[in-house]
Amino acid sequence: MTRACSAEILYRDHSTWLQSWFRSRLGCPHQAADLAHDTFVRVLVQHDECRWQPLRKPRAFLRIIANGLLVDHYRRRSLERSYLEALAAMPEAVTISLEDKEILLETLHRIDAMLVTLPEPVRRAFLLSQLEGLTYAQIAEQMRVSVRTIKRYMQQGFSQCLAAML
Amino acid sequence: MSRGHALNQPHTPLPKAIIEEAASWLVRVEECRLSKPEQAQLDTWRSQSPQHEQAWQAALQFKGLIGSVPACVGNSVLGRQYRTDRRTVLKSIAGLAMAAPAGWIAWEQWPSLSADYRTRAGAQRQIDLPDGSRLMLNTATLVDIRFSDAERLVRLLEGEIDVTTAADPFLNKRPFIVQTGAGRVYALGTRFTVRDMGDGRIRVSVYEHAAAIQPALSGSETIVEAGQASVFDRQQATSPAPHHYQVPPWTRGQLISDNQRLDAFLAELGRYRPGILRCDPAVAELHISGVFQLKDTDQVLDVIASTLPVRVNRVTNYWVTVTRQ
Repeated sequence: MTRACSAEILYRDHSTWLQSWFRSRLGCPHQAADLAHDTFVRVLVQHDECRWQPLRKPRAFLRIIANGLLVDHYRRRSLERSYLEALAAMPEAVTISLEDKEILLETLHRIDAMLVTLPEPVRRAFLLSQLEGLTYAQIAEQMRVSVRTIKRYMQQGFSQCLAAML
Repeated sequence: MSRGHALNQPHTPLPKAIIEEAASWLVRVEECRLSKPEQAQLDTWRSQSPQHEQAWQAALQFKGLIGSVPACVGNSVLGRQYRTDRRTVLKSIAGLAMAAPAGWIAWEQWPSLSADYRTRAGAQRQIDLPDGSRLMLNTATLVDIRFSDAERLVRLLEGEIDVTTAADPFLNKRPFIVQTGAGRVYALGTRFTVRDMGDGRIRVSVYEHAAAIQPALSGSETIVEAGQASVFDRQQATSPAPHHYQVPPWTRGQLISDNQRLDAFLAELGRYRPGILRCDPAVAELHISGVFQLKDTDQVLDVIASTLPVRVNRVTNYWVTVTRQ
């Protein structure tokens, strides 16, 4: 009980502060409340109950996690906008169900998170191969680099994605 | 990203070297079709250890995932220029409300090849397959469906499914197979469930006719008959034991417990809720029996609080702890 309590004390003492921290950056109180909750959930998940120790600088610690969530949040927003634009730009054809749209969106978020830290050329080569189905030779020609470089890029891309899948 | 692991599970990361090797195999496979000796090399590599195979399964899962994204959407979304400039982001939020979906290409032509289906925590979903078979996805489940000329393959990547097979309309009577991280389950009749326990073990419960379990690293099959269940990992399957149910309770929206430990019960209930549901070790050994409705898990928690000497602490709705009263 005592350990669970220290997590709860953290929540009680800092949640209002954290919510206003988010609100000043997002403008929306509901999103701010959601992200503040997400921050605490992440703290809880990362800190195993058995190893729970009181934090020396709780707000500095919370701010680091909150910042990461905020960057993710912006990134997700930008993805959602691109997604809706892509849907709107499609020619009239079979309509996709709301549910499948949602699933595809989630898949995109997931892959996007895997690719986030890849350098731009690696990411580009990776998408040309995985989405367009271009051969390594075709990608090399298009990007004006050697096939060996493309293979290195692909290796880097796959390693990162596999690590994220596991 | 939360993918349905409601409660923390121990997770040992694979050595980086193995991931790198799996990635370099993927590069080779994609560069050109593997020759027979190369294919044999890959098979040997995969069988070197469970971790090798695990990395390779992750590779296949990734291919399934990215393969489910239509190129036109993927390119503009994943290839977008991303700016962290806040003003752009705020504008984009305003834009969200206005853009309307227009249409789709070839999305529903799927019986041809493959598709991914998923449910969130707390959701269930029925999928009618092109051969007349039916899949029911339980909470937090991810499957990948691949029908070819040779087989009807459903890959269970996460969660639990209820399978009701139909006789194959194809002349060659393609086998119906559920592929899991621990091995394959062959349908020998009509109805069974397969559940990924999240710890490398898979549970198979049969309701009509029979199913055969083929653990990945075992040469022998285990037949599970109607009314029986078996749990298997990559090495072996337990001998089938009776399960006492006519239909899977969750397909009727029920969670049934019979003198179950409270921590086990809450772990089960937690599968059906987003967020975290924790059990204080001080009350873990209390026991509980009953038939509960899954559609309102908060109500189930209230029932527990009123029948057992426990208190339900809702720090937030996504973070609930059950402690001593």
